[in-house]
Amino acid sequence: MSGELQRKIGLKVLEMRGNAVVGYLQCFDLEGESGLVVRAIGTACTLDKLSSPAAFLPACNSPSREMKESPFNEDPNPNPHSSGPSTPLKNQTYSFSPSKSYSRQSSSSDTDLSLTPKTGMGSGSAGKEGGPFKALLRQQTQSALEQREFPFLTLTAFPPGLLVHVGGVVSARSVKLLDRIHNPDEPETRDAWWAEIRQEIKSHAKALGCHAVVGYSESTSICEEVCILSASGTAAVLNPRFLQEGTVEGSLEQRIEENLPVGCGFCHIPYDELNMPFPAHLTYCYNCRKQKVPDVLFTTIDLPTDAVVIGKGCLIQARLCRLKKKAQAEANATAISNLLPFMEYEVHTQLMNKLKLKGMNALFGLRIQVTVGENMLMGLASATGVYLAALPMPGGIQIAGKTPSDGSYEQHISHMQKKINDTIAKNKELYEINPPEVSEEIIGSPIPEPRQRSRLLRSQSESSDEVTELDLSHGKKDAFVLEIDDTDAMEDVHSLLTDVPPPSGFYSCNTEIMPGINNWTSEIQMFTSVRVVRLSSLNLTNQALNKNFNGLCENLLKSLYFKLRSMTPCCLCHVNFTVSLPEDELIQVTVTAVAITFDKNQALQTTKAHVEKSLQRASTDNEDLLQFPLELCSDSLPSHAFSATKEHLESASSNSGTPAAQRDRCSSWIELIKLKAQTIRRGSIKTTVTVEKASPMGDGNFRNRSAPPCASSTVGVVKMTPLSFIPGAKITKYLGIINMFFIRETTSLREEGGVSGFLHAFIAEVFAMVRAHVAALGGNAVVSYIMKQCVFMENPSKNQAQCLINVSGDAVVFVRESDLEVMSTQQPTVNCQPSCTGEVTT
Amino acid sequence: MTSELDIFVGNTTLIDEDVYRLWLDGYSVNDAVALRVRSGILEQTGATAGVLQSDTMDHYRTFHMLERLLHAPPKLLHQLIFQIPPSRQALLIERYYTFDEAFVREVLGKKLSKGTKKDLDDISTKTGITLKSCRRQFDNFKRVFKVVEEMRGSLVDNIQQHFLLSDRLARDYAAIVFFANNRFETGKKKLQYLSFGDFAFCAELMIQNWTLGAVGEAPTDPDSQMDDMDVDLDKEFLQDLKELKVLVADKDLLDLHKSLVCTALRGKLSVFSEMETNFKNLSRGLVNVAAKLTHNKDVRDLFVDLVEKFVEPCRSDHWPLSDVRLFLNQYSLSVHSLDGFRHQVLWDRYMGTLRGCLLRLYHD
Repeated sequence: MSGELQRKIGLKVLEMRGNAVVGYLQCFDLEGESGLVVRAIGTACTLDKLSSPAAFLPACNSPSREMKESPFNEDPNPNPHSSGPSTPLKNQTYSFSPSKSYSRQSSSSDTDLSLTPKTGMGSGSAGKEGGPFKALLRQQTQSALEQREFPFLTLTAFPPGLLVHVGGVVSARSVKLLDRIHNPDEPETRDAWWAEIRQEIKSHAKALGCHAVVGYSESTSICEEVCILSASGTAAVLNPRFLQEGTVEGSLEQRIEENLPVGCGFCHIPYDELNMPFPAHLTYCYNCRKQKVPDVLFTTIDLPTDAVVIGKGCLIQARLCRLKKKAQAEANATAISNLLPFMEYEVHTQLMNKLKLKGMNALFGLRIQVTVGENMLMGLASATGVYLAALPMPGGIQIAGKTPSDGSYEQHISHMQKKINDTIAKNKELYEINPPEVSEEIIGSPIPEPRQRSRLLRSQSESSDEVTELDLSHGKKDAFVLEIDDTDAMEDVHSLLTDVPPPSGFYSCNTEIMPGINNWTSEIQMFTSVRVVRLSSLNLTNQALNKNFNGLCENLLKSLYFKLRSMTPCCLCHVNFTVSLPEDELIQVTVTAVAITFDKNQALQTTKAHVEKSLQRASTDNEDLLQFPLELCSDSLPSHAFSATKEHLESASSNSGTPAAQRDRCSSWIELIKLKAQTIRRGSIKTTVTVEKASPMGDGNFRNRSAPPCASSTVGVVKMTPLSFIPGAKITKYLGIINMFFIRETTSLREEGGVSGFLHAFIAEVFAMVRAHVAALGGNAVVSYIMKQCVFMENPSKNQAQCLINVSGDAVVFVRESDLEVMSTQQPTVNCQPSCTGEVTT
Repeated sequence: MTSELDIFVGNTTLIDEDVYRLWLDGYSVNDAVALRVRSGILEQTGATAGVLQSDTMDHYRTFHMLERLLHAPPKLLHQLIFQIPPSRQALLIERYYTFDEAFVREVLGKKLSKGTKKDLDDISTKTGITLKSCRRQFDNFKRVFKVVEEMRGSLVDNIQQHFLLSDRLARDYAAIVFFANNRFETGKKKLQYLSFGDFAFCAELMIQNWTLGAVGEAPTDPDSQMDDMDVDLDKEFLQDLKELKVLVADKDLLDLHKSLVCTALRGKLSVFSEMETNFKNLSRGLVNVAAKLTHNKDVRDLFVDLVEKFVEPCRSDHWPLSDVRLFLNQYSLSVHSLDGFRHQVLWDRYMGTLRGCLLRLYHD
């Protein structure tokens, strides 16, 4: 099925005149009775020879999507509808969705959006969503017309310059009943569901003044016949130049370039500040002082390579459980639907509080997972918090007691306040956040709208509206007020404080790389950890549940830190938590991440280093520059000399001056595209030749590889990483996508060491099989590895257990940078030649 | 909230040396956790007991899965399930096959059979080594023994090849196999003062000089159904040793030998007079040991005899080690000057080894 789906997508991409799919996400929905659905989204794009001036990048847009279902044939009850009530209800099945779908578009979630002020994008693009979007579509063929309705990109990392502005996170959820699918064998119903959600996402993005959604992903959570469909992404304004066939248009772009200072442009608000979609607190950008920025920024993408970050980042998680009554069908769906908005709000509040507590002002890689179980809902949000130099300094957190003051209570409050302040100070130190002092006059300049409502009030119930009206803006300008109105809130504040920071020498993030750490060494350790806990009592309260869940996650993290203590100093990257509720009282948490060690002495990067970086740019070698042919486009017009230099500057700082890790990423980014091209090539046909000859760099590398490359790597070792690059190494060849399913069953559970023994051995074997597969393809590493599914079921009384695992990744060949250098000095022409040609032809 | 399942799997298998040691020492998970807590690891890392428990369980599970591979170390190198760096693999193997001095002294020279295995309980109580660890060590001995028993070629090389042990450890195992095969008695009270190192040293000398392999006949005649090269003593050689009897049986030869030794050592020994009076006894003892080696029973008692006939008399006269060395050198050298003695080569093969052994055995 997955192969069939890949071929279908391949055809669709060909139709769109693309020749590759990048950021391919494929999921299986195990719907149970109504069937098995394979969903996949990806970003179609056109790959071109790097020496030609054409855009290699999203000369494309919109996820193409296909669905494929196959009901279980052996299903004893082949007609899933029969279980549904009588006919008259059928209509309701459908009507269920629109009314019950939710967006997390609420004011809270998007505090971060803003408008592109003055000149800049003005006329041409951002303001009117039509503009750039049309540009985007200009090169689309007529046949792909219908694809335009979703200008979504599944990628999370972009070449410098593509991202003009970032609006904020947009998401949508919808609760559906699977047993009401009219014709479960056909994809129409499900297509319609997703189309609805995408439409909603798109409209949210539009409301934020953005014309595209990046870092887009879709997911489902299924429990019996209820299914929650979720989609999220980051609303953004993309640089139209990247969306055209490499031709540079007039002076518009030049102006954009001039107005986009390095490293902060993407933070500037894309929406109109006089007409904000929600209340937000804007200030002038702390970096360029010209444009407005929001006070916090939430995104689902990776940190742009050119972003200026102060200090280090850290993993921030919000965890939440809500009990729900067991119910059937519609009642169940309604109950879930009623809970969802509160959960969204709560999760967001937690994230916000924790972010403030860490003294940071932006979240990247935000991923909110809502899982539905028989009697509860779980929400787990993970993101990487950073301090963006362009955004204002976050205010502290203030605690306000609600109940009439009595002495001890006040004392308690002030004690807590002190603890919070201490924690913030400690965190600032821990993550090395020392923003340069800025005098008030410069930044505090008039903000047209005096609505300072950045504070979020914790609210337990419907009373929220009323509470928000209270003027709590006394005290610090953007202090964040936490109101303690009941014991529940008390618990929450406590849980804020109980989040233990990772032990010294450890950092963690869920993005590709850790902001602020740059000197990766080549030692990596990828791992998967699975925990299942049984909740003890039957009549749990929400608080107890939350506490349990919190404890579970914290313990898991602590365990990881403990286990990997020999690798310090190191950073856990791409920490990916997945929660599922396999049974009534069981919670399963699966974590996959990679620990990368770094060189402590050189890892201390401050903002000052940034300046040095730009000095180093002169030394940028051609090869690296050439990876971004778009720059060459601008080169072609002498009148644009300025913008061209600017771009060089940008890419220089991200390519050479910046640490190896980021360079790795950039180059591997290109490689990634190549790889996907090859992947698709399997399904489609004729693009092969061009792709194969893809780039001069590729050629160079192939030649390089004819030297004695592989001999140096230890035989049999296959590295695995969820990241798209391998630190200290260069990926020379992509061998294709690995997508494997494993199902294992045992009838001798006890003999195999119980559930833990069974799953431990199984996962070890899954790793081994993936490695063997890659080795057989001639590769020596797997990048972008992900465990998409790990469904575990047990029946201890029968001494049985089953497990299904779906993993995927990209098989690659890598060469250590040190080896590469040796080789390139031996054959200096290999690297230089193509770049020169490139320069000339443009 | 109880934990149903808790696992951690790394692409590169994590090995914690401390936990590995605890596992090898046969501690249960709970004991191991307790020991780790006592080691102060919680304070160092800020971890909780729960974390430690989970970590220990994980490691134990991994080791358990690795154990069957460790039984045939080359398999560990070629398996694909666990990606372990070579240096770690070597460490795993080396540690797994490392044994306790106290334990090996108990079973050295015993038949590696089920019967002995039943006695492990007693050994465990006696030595304070956990039964689990005893079993592992015993099984290791037995496994190595079984594999190399029937094999040709150098014993040490064979062990190294099949178990990928370090040179040092392979030599120790060679000694264990050699002792087990020849069933040398090492458990007598008289021999208690000897360490495994002493025996291993003797075993090595004997393997080098007294076995078939030592003569270097193997390459010329690979197909013959000879006894196992390094494991068994050279029967022919043992038969020939009878010829040495003449040294003590022939009175003239004995007197001549004595006078030669005494002349050479006069003034050089602090215990000269004692040596002079005891010479005949000592010489008789050493030669009789040689002559008796034709019988299996007497082969087994070799070390008992050596201690009884030579080490103890010397010790009771308080010979310093340097004097023993001088004496033994002169004693074996002087035989070359005995015109009537025709078995010089045989004597050297016997005495060369024996001298080394005796010097090693001569201590408190």
